[in-house]
Formats: sequence, C-alpha cells, structure tokens
Amino acid sequence: MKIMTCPLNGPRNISEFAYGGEVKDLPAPGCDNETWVDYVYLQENLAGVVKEWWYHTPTAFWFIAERDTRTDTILKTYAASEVFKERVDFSAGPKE
Amino acid sequence: MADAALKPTDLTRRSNLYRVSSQLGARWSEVNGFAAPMHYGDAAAEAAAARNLAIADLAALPRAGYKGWDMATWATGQGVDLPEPNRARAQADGTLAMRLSNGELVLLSGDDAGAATIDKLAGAWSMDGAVCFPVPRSDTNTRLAITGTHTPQMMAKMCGIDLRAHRFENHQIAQTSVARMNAILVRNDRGDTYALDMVLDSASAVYMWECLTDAMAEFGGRPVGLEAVRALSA
Repeated sequence: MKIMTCPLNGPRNISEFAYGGEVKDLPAPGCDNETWVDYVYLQENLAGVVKEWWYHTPTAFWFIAERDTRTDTILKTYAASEVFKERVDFSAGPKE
Repeated sequence: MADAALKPTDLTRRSNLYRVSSQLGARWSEVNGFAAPMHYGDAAAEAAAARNLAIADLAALPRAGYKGWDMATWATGQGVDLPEPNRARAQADGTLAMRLSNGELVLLSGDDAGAATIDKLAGAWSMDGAVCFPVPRSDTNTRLAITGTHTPQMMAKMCGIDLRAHRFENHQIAQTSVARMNAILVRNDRGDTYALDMVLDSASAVYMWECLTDAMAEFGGRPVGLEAVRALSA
C-alpha cells in the first residue's frame, strides 16, 4: 500500500485519500468565458512536478500535494492555508 | 442498575444497535432518554472481558460537535480546555474534548453520561456572530467503546494505524478507515485498562458491530454492557 502524509493526520494509506485536481490560480472576477472554461475543465496534465488538491476522506480535510507525475512520487504535502491566506472577494461581479 | 421491565422500544430515542443488543439478552436502563444496555446477563464474564477485549454500545451517552474557523476562541471562551489538533483532553466534569483539527471539536460525555459541558455549549451557541456551527454528532454519529489489552491486536486486523499502547498514547486521536469505513478513534483508557472510543456513522453501526465482534472472536472478546465499562474506571 502506498503511503501519503496528510498535513493534519500524518502518514496514512493512500486509499484514505481522494484526488481533487490541479491547483490553479482563480481567474479574476469578471473574466471572459474562455478563461473560466480553461479554469474549470482543462487540465495541464504536465509530465513533471505538479501541485494538486488532495482530500483526506475520514477528516474531510483538503490539502495540497506536490507530486512528480513521471515517477508518481509524492514530494511534499502542506495545508492549503499556507497558500490561500486571504478570502476571495467576489463582490466585483460578472463582466457585462 | 438495570430496570427489568424496561424495553428499548419504550423510549423514543434508540441506539441503532438496540435490536442487536435485544437479541443478545440485554438488560436496560434509561440513560439520556435512551434505553442503554447495562449488561447481558453475566456480570462476572463481562467484567473479565472488559479487561481482555470487549465492545460496548455507548450510543446513549451525550455527544456534540462544533466546527468553524474560529471554533477555538469560542470554545475556550466557554471554558473548554482545548488540546492541540488530533488530541483529546478530559474536562473537569469528565467530558472528553476531542479536537479534530484547528477548527473542529467533538465532545463525548464521560461514562456517567454527565452532560454539563455539552449542555453549557448548547445553551451558549447562537447564530448571531457565530464563528462556528454545531455538527449533529448525537444523531448522525454513534459511539462504541472497545476495551481491553487485546484491543490493539484486534484492531490491527481492520485498521492501518498502529494503535499499540506504546505508539498510540492515551487521548491521541486517529481519524481513519476502520473496516473500510471512516471512523474517529480516540484512546480513552478506563482506569489502567486500554480503551478506544469510536465515533462513526450511526447508520453503519450494525455493520461495524458485526465486523468488530467477528474480529474479536479469536481473542475471546465479547459484547459488554455499560456497567462493565463503568467498572473499569471505578
């Protein structure tokens, strides 16, 4: 069994985790549709070191893992709060 | 003491395991509005099993949960002595405060069902200016106790975490997978006897009970009532 280290719970069997997609920068509020489509549906699918969302199912805890997709090695994991430190302000609203 | 006339269906609050306990010949007593299985007819065997390996249905005991970004400030302000994440700490009234993460707290009453801390927080919480919100732990979750020195060996058959006494300290928490189900385990020794409390999905209680009783058979484990669990701390 592969082991992944959860930032909250420590090393756990990989079967306790779910993959949540690539970590991407949120488009600016009011951006065009193509940018949103790219953000929501299109993945980079890079061969190399990628940042990904992972989820520890028993605790409902989301965190970020850096993984080398060529070797499927997990390089490090850390809490999302280390990257996302501020609330996103959506008050700008959609672009007319 | 068990009430010979009491049946679990006499009360509206019922453990998801009441049919299982009835078939095992449970004698009941009212605890927190539930009929709680106090013993299964053989007090001496249950007392011995509780030290060796035993499972008990603690669904009747009060529990509560709070979650939110500033839970710690709120709960500390209400007088809860909070530990660090993935640790638990006994409060003055015997309630166990389990901190699941920075922003999540679960409260389990002591085996005496004392709910002073749980009732205090329930009375203090309000929508206004809330920085955390209640989680319905008493309804959607249930609680089992697994007690006795063979507990870590038995759990090794169904859980990937090393729960041996020298690796998993008293009041340490493991939020993990047990028998392929999500569960929260907390080591909560009774007296000098190793014990785990398990908080899990209430609708899956019968499945988990069957998995545990099957796994404990080879160690001579058996179901025990609340009296045997309480006696460990006496």
